[in-house]
Amino acid sequence: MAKRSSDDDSVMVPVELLIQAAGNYVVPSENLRPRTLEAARESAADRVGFYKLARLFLVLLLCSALSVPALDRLTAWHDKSVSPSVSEIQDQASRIATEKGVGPHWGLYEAFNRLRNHHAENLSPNR
Amino acid sequence: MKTIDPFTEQIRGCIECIAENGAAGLSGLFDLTAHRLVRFAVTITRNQHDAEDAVQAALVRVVSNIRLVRAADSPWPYLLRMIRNESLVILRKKRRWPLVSSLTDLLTRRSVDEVEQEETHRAVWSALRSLPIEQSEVVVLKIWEEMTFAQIAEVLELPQATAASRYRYALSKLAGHLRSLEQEVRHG
Repeated sequence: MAKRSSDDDSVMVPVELLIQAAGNYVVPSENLRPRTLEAARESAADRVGFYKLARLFLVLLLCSALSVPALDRLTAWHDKSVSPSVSEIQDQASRIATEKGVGPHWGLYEAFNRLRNHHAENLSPNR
Repeated sequence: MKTIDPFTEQIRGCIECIAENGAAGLSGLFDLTAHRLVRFAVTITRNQHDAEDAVQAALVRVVSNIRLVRAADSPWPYLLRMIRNESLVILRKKRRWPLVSSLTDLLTRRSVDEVEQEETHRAVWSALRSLPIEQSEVVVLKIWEEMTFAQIAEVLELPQATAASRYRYALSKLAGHLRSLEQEVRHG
């Protein structure tokens, strides 16, 4: 750092004093205070709104992430538990009758028997 | 033992108030620092309106980043650095060189007993505006903020020796600008 000589001081000190005295000459405008406080309030409110929106988005994301596998399981269970229609039972009965060479009544009995077993299997707690 | 000056203590108190109350707690920090912040920003932007915009933007940023401000070792130099950054952003956006000689943008205080000194004050402000920004900001921090060259170097992020030499250059130039006026003051 450069050292000051006494000649320097004789010039610098009065200049420093003049500058020092002019320090309070410029003042902030009267509307700066309310303007700044209002801007800070608005900015804080915007930030709160943004965080709320972000939280809502996260909750929705979490819900969808949890609901997709749950829906998949529900659909699978639904598919298994749904009973076949009357025409499907009749088709199955006639197929059994043809395969085993029995009458249509036994074919129908066998078809219902298989359906009952299938339902029992689905409802079994050991599955 | 490290001593903390009362002004720093007051700033810390205001920052704690903002941390507790959010934007509602900003008024204390504004009342304590606005005059000094505007004064510093004016030396960079060379325009009071832009300087006030910089101060507003920086103080809004203080509220939104209160944890960073609270964690700062020296809150006042940190605030000044924020003001400087905002002022430089505004200056860059304007992309035009500010008027050097005119002081018409300045809002000034004139108490009755200072009327005769007004010419001197105007000459000082005008002379400050004639300096390059990197020199005038050192002068402001040294004389009005009463900072050491080490503190100035911290605010302006430059070596201490550079801050000192800029100050010397600036004062020599200011002395030239103010010489005639100084003679009047001495003999008057």
